[in-house]
Amino acid sequence: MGLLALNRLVSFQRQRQRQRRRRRGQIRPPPPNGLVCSVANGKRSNHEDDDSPQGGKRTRYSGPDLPEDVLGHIHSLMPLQDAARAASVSHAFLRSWRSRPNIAFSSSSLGLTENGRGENKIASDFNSRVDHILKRHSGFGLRTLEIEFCGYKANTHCYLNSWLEFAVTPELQELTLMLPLKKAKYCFPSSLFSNGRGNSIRHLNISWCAFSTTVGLDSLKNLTNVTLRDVRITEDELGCLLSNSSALEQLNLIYCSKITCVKIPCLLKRLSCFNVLECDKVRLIENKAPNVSCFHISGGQVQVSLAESLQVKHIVLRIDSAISYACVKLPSAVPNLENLSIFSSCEAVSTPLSPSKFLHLKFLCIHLLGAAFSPAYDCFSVVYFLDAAPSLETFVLGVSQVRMQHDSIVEYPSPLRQVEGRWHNHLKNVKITGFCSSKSLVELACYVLANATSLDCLTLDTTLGAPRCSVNKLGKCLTMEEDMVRESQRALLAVEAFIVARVPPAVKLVVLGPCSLCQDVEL
Amino acid sequence: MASAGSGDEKAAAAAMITLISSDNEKFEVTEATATLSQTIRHMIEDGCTDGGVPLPNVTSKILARVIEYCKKHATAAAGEEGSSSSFSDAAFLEVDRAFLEELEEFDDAFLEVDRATLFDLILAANYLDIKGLLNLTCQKVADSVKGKTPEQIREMYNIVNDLTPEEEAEIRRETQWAFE
Repeated sequence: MGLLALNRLVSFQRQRQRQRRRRRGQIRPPPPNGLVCSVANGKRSNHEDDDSPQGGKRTRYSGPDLPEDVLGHIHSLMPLQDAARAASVSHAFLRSWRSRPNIAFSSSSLGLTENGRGENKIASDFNSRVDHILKRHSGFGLRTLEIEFCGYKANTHCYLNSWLEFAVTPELQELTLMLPLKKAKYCFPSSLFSNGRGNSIRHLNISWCAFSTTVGLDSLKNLTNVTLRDVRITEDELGCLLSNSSALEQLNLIYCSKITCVKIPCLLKRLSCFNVLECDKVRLIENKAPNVSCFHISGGQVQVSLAESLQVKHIVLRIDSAISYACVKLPSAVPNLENLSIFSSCEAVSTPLSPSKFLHLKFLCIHLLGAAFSPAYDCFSVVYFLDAAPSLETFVLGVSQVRMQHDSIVEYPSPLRQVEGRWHNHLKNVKITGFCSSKSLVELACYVLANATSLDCLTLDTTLGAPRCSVNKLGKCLTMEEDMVRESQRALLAVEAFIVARVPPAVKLVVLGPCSLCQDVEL
Repeated sequence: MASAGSGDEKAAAAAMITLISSDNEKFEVTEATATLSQTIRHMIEDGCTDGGVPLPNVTSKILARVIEYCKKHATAAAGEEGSSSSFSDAAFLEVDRAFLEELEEFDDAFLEVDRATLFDLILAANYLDIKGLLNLTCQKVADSVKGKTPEQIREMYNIVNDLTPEEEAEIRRETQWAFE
């Protein structure tokens, strides 16, 4: 049996480790064929589940052993708390715990629940647990470190400095640091990334701290992803970070409120995607990186300057007067654009005529939020946007409003406007959510039916378009205000009166009202 | 078989790979399916697959399951490439979501095996270097020890406790927080 056992061990695990284990003389030798002997009653059992003589249900395993690197991999896939418990299973597990490649610290991963603990106690327990775990880590093999603080004490920054000092090695690939809101006046020690120590860092994701890069960053040559959320960084410091990150592929700046302008230099040849979201002082975003293919810009009054943007295919734009801006500026700046989503919460003027065309635009989504769908903005003018996009295949218009302020065509009938539009030969799917009895929306729907010669389907959803109870996880539809349900009913009347008769035979008209299961409003 | 065929058939046959299990059963798979395995991918690149690829560490029972996984996920990989150009197109998103859900269901059903088979699959995935399958199967094992004590884990997986009592006491003190 000893020989068989040895054979099995040798075939699956490193001989050296086996020999070390055997020398310790503590081994319960694995039985032949990987079967487990039921130690308590001496009978061999190959049952998966076996009621132990003690009465407790024990699960027994019969099958092959796994090599140590696979055990290590399994160990790394366990959540931190399970992995820490498993460290005392055997030497192999202890070794893999000491060199765990991925460590994610948070209140939940460390098992720090409120449970009678005060905020202060949680913060100090957090610090001492993290400190203890990192101090016992071998320092080898740590590739991903994530620290999500759940409290902040006066001495936390000393701890954090020492943790980063320990963890930022030439092996570290991903660093995520989430400090607790603004309480932390922490300044990220970016000097850690000098002298080759940040050489292998690929992902850097930091929140709620300052990031000063006045000292030269010379070793971020493998940095591909950067996310700065609520990070106090000036545009000069950002410029310094970007100019040292020539491998950058993705840049995310979220709530960085010190930056007034974002200049993306042309040396970022690999940058394919950037997102600048809700950085409230940003007034100018300038992109010179030649291979950007998608970007997302969100936040009030932002001027966007794009040069050499032939690669741009996807844009999400959420700025004031986004529709006018997109219609006038984008066709010449990003001529190969395929996919455009616009969110506008205020439009000063109705959609202007576009000076040039989006020849490759296939998908267009426009959301009019709150004030943008006011009587001052003529929805019907969106047809000029459609005219500027001759290849368009899918058009989605979303209208969000609590109370309809437009004249209802049902209450104030008047002749519908018609414009000499062009034919839309590629437009196959059109969907309007938040469809109401506003005259301009009815005119828009009629325009689509008259001019989209290849139309397959027109969907008019009189709700806000949220997933219905039949498909969403809540099993319940979004609650609609009584006014909205009333308006929805008027919209259905408008569809009946003005639209149904204009639907060509080949077109499928889908009209969606409030859910009959969830919305039970007496009208 | 290939030599008797026309040019087209030859091309089609050339894209097929024969895998031979430890009990000498032969499996014909497409190159796209086979190359989910980095080990086989390298053999194809080195031109070492003529006459079949012997896999002396994998039985026919396990190999059949591995191929089932690779076939499904090779289609998935092809599907992702096809739809990446219109990532935010609502229609495509619907398709992608349905496809991902189906893949998830497949994976869940795939993992409905006894522990010995699961370990054999892990060994095969490790040997063939199929990252997705290795992660999937290892995650299943990692999930199965959730909330278990070291003693329970040893029993579940027939792991020998080779720590001295002193060592064990020390590591238990160190990780006491995890037992609270």
